[in-house]
Amino acid sequence: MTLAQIQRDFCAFIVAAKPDIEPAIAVDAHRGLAVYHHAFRATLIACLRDTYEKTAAWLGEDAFETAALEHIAEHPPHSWTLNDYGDGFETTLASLYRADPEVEEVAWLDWSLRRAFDGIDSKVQDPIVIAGIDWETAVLRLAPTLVMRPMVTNCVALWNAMAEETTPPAVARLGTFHALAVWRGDLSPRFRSLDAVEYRALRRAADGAPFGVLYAELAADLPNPDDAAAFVGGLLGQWFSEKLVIGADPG
Amino acid sequence: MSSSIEPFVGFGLGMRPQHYPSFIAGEAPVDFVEIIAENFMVKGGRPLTVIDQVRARYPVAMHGVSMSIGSADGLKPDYMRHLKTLADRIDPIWISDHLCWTGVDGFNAHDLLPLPYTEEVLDLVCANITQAQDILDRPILLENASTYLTFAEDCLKEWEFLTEMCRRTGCYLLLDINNIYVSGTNHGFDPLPYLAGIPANSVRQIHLAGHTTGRSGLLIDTHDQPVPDPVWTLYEAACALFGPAATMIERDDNIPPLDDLLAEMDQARRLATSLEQVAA
Repeated sequence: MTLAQIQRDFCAFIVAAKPDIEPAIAVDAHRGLAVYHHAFRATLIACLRDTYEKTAAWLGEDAFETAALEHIAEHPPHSWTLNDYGDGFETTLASLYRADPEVEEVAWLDWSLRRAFDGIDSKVQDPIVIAGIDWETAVLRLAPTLVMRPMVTNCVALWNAMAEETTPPAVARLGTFHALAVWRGDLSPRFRSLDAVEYRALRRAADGAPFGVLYAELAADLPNPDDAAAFVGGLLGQWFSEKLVIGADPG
Repeated sequence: MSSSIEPFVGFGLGMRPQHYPSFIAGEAPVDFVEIIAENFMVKGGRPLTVIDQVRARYPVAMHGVSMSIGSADGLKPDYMRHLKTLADRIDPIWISDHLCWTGVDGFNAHDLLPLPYTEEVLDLVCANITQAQDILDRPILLENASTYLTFAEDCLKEWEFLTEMCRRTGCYLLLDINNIYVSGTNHGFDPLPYLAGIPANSVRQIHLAGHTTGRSGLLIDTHDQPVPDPVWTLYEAACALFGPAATMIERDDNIPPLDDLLAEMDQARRLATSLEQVAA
């Protein structure tokens, strides 16, 4: 038997206990196969539990492990780094907990914070360059780790309660539009809520819309157009101070 | 490419997150630290800040778990590229990984899986080592992994495989004394002839660690316990055979306070030093 065939059969055993490997191993080696079979699952469950720490706390150990095993069965690892293995687990949770959307939302927050932790660094542009830019056509440069999405539940309150190890509130569906942004400016990942106006503006910026267009759209939402400069200037100042926006490029 | 690695003699610890602050501050009295390379093969953020700060204080050995030097389908270019990038960043005293495989055909088990010790596998492993050393532009160290089974086609002893591997490729060895003990117990071989069969001039680093007994009765390389007496005894034999080599305590789980690990490291230092004095 070639090494390639032995290795394929070995993988089939540790993933799904397929016995094709047995002729290749020594006669007294079967209990060793079980060690590798167990270690494969244990490593991946531990990885998911570490990455999705608050999700595991929300679901409880048994339910989390059941979900992890289901994910492992359907998604064997392919990346060289375990850091990637959590990718898509929130989708598995969404399919397992269709009636409980807070599970997938807490999981998305766990995963996004983990990705931001060691994602690409934000290199803030020189203020002198920014000051000299034509803002009408400029395109905002967002933190490279920034991800954002709408949420339908009070998942942030749940996540925070588990982070602080306090009793979480009851799950609630939000009555108004609510989105969440996750990014890393310096060394620590962070997140905060966005209302509909800010979310739409950041989404348009992420899509490459010129700042002049963003300005006009934000101004159009205001009851008094004379407030536009102060309102948009305030938003931009906040984004820069949070390193959610790290520069601007000529359009 | 430099064709050799000068011996680095010292006593160190594997750097684990619980103890990062002490290493960043340079407060840990060690001669070198060993990092798990993959933990720092990232795009940015705190891990790279940590390793830059630690590297400014200590010599650093890079120890990987994902090279998969024994995979039938060869090395992973993306992995090797990231490994080289980290090596260029921190200029390690050396780069090590394990004599094992972790997956094939794109699948990665994230475990150190055992290899059959045959001529076919020796040829393949040596070809992969040569390629890795060319990419990294330096010789590498390979560690003997603990194993829980052997193969029907085995025709070489593990130490024979290691010796021939070093002779053919110019790579060096990171001997894990605990792993020799674990594999010896699991497969019924005497660790002393194993050590005696290893070429002394190939050994550049030694790992000391603990283990547990699994439900199956096999010893499991958990690295979550203090170094046990039989491993200390084997370490003594290794020191007598190989002379001074960089030695470190490798603790991967159930991490105790730093002082506990330093006490184990000092025990290794005392033992090695006393044998050196006797030899002199």
